[in-house]
This record gives sequence, C-alpha cells and structure tokens, in this order.
Amino acid sequence: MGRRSQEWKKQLRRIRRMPLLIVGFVIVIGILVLAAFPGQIAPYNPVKSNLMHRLEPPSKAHWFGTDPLGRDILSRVIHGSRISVMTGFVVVFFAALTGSLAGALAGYFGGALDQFIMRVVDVLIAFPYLILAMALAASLGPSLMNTMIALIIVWAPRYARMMRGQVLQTMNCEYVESARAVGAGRVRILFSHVLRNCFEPVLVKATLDVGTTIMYAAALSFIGLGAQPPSPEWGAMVSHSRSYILFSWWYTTFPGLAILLATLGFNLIGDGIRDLIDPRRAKA
Amino acid sequence: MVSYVVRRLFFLIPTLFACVLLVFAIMHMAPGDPVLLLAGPESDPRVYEELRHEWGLDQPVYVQCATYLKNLVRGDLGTSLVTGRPVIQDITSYLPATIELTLVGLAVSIVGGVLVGIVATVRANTMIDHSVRTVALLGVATPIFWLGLLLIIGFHLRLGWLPGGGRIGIDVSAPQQVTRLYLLDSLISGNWAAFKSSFIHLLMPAFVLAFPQIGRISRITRASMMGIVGLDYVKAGKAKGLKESRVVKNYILRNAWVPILTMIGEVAGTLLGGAVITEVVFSWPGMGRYAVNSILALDYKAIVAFAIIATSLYAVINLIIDVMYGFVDPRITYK
Repeated sequence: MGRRSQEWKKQLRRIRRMPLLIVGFVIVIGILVLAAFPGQIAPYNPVKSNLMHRLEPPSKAHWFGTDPLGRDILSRVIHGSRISVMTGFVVVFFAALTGSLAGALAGYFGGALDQFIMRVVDVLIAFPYLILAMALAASLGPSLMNTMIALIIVWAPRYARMMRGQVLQTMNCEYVESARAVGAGRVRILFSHVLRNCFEPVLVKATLDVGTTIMYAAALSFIGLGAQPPSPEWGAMVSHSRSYILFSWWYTTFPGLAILLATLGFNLIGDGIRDLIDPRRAKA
Repeated sequence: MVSYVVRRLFFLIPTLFACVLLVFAIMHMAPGDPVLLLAGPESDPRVYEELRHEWGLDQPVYVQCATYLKNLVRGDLGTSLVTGRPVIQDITSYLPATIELTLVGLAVSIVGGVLVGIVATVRANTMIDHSVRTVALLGVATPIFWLGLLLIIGFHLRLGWLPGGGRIGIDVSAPQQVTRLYLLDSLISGNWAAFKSSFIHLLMPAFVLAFPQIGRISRITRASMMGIVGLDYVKAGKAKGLKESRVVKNYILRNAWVPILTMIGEVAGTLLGGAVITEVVFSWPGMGRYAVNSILALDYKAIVAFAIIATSLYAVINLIIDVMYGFVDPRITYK
C-alpha cells in the first residue's frame, strides 16, 4: 500500500512541473462543468428569440452580445459546449473501439481477414478526411448524429492501422510464445496477453484525438452539415455569422473562441498524458 | 528506384477503383434526391421522370457505377448536375486555383515551420522558444474558418488593406493562361498589375491555410533537432571550433530531416482538406469549394471526379515524400 501511494506522489510531482497540462486540465474541467449544467449557468434561454434586441454588441446585460434573432450569445455558447464535448467523446470512443477491434483481429488472425481489413483501411485513409466526412454526412442527411457517424467512420481506420501494428509487434514477444507453449487457447492469448499490452498507445492517441475531433465537427457544422438550427452548435454559429460580418464582430468571435479553447484544452491534456505515459517522447 | 516509383503508381489504379466504388456506395445511401433538388418539389411528375432518365439516375446503382467506370476508362468524366458542363471542364477551370493555393500554403508551411523550429532549437528554453511553442499550440487548435473570418473582418472590413475574397481583383484581367497559376502566369507575361493583385488575394488564404501547419512543422523540427543536439558528433563539431551556423546546418539539421519529412507528408494531406474550408471562407474559385457545392447538391459525377483527383494527389504526394526519404538519408534504399 505504501508503494502505491509513493507512485502517485511521484506522478503528482511530475505533473506539478508541467504547467501546460495543468492549464489544459483547468480549461477542460471548466468546459465539462458548462456542458454538464448549461441550464443553471447560462443567464438566458438559448433558443427563444427576442427581436427587440437583435445583434447587440457586448454589454453588461449580454457579455457576448446578441445574435440576429436577439438570443444571448453567451448562453448559446454555454449550451453549445454540451454538443461539442459529447461529439468529441462519442466519436473518439467508438472510432477507437471499432478501429482497434478491426485492427486487432486483422493483426492477430492474419491471412485473408488481414488483407481484406487492411485494404479497406487503406482506401479510407487515402481519402482526405474532410471530403470523406462531408460525403458521408451529406449522404446520410445533415444532422448531428449523422455527422458523428461520418466522423467515426473517418477516424476508425487510423486506429485499426495502429492497433494492427501493435498486435503484430506484441505477438513476437516471448510471453506470447510461452503462453502458447503452455497450451493457452488462441482467444485467451488474444485477450489476456496481447490486447492488454497494446491498448496503451490507443488510449494515448484517443486522448490526443478528442480536441481535433471537436474542431473537425465544428468544421463540418460550418459547412452546413452537422447540428441544424436552432441548435447552438459553435461551428454552425460561426457559419451563420458570415452573413453578418459587416454588422457584428462578436457573433463570429465568441463561438469560434470557444472552439479554440475547447480544442486547446483537450490537446494540452492529451499532450500531457502522452508525456507522462511515454517519457521517451517527453519534450526535450 | 524507378521501378519502385512505377510500382507505387501502378498500385494507384486499384485504389482509385475502390475509391469510385466507395463514393458510389456512399452516395447511394443518400436519402436526398438530386433530381428532386434539380426539378424542384412542385414539379410535374413527368418532368421528374424525364430528368431522372436523362441523368441516368433511374438505373440501379451498380449499373450506374459500371457505366461510369466504362466511361472513365475512355476519359469521359460525365456531366455535372450543378453546372451542366462536362466535369472535365469544371476541373480544368477550378483545379489550378486550388493547386496554386495549396502549393503556396505548403511552401509557406514548410519554410515558416522549419525556420521557426530552427530558431526555437538554437534559442532553446528562452523566451523565444517558449513563445514559439505557445503559438504552435494555439495554431494547431485554431479553427481555420474562424481565423479566416477574423482576418477578413480585421484586414478587409475594418482596415481595408486586403481583399475579402476571390483570386484576383475585378478591375484586373486574369493573366494569359500558360499554367493557369496566376502568380506564375503574370510573371511569365510580365503583367505586373495581375501579379500584384493575385499576390494580395493570396496573402490571407495562404496564411490561414499555413498557420496551423507552421505550428506542427516547427514542433517536430524542434523535437527532432533537440534529439540530435546532445549527440557526440555535434559536440565534436562545436569543439572543433566550427561556426554555430555551420554546426546547425551540416551536423544537426542534416540528420533531423526524416521525422520532419514525415510530418510534411501529413501536413500536405491535411492541406487538401484545409483548402476546402479556406476556399469556402474566401470564395476562392477552386476544387474545394466546387466539391462542397457538389456534395451539398448530391452531384454524383462531380463528387466522384473530385474524389479521384484528391486521392491521386494524396498518393502522389506520399510517393514524393517516400522518395525524398531516400535522398535525405542515404542509408535508405529502395529495391
């Protein structure tokens, strides 16, 4: 028990020397709180329009100003955090899950299954991600759910490739050989030995990917796919603000700033976790 | 080496084939109906049927796909639903714009990123290094559509210094077409006005494209160089009394290229996607904006053509990067 708490203390001391990780942590906690309790924190109703106060600049009553329908932008940004955070987590989780599973099966069983899976992966990766995501989201129909599905399909192949490489590397290790020599079945070896040691890089990649996913989802919403009005999604708000850039700078600035902060926060945490887990790649 | 390149190019063909199949499969899933979009929801059912037949959309998907492939081999890319022109014509008018934007963006990313990375290494752990790394972190997290819009608000609407979109001013005529890259063409034909106009129109879009990538390349340049800085032969070089610039160039940078090249490959791939968003924000008349409009209108032929081009470009870029590995590190050989 004493050694366990010593390990934790060592990690905490390392973390204290990583200011960026702490900054990222603070940002992400802030965003998670906003996403969890938007109704309690936001001062105004995010969807009810108030045509008496259209497109007002930032003031004491409306910190971020109002949009063309008179809605408080701060409240909309706060409510939008839930959409972005949820998208980030859901997409990365399912992409990592399906991708790693496919990659692990391909690497472990080899043969025709391996070839088939890897060809599909190659074709999917050969596409520029945005085009594939757009085509998928457009063909499924513009909605938040379909955008998430499209992003999952775009991200998963990268996890498949990574996992397959990891599995192939691990399979050559001695403990796998010895397990087989003792008589362990293939499935047992796969789960108890191989996968256990492979999922660490997947975890690191997943934490790094959340930030980027949030940004890509906002980009898709900017183009018109993704969450539809009156949903207060950040990318959609920036897109809508284009028609009004002659009259307002605040409608563009604040939702975009939210995207920046969210992506930054999650990126910093991802970087920090990677540096903690894999000290060889720590910044020189 | 040549056989390696030829083999790689050869593998492009099945990839493109799979690409076409994939796009047709995806488009087939569409609940939207392009003919409905074309004819309008109030149209006469006979007109609707006629349009469907005219565009070949009443055939089952695999027949459409087979017909497309048959035509593709003959070089016929079909006609666009949106513009009504042959897709090849659309491509020749829009692709050069994207190529120009992407090339300039790539050049700025590489030059800017490597230079900044070198500066950060040479002045490691100073204020310069820290600010460089901070800007890089911010750059990677910045949504480029937002950055573009902010720059337009600032430099175009408020200050009036730079144009708000398009490739060249409406008061200037496009330079004589040689490469269709405006910068080059205006230099070739000595058209100074066109060059100036094209240049200022390129400034903001290229910067917006390059900004996140400069961050990525500078980070990997710094990381790669820092990994070499502590090595013995570098110490030997410094001990010999060589000038610092020589040590940096010939001892450190020379051996740092491989991870940087890998990142450049990734950057090039990202730029293809980033160009789409940048073109939408800056009304740049390129393939990216064309692709977005085609996708939103469910214009099958245009989308497939775009997918083929994008995949081929991506594959060629990766091939160039792989060949460059061989030049940068003589220990790498290709059979």
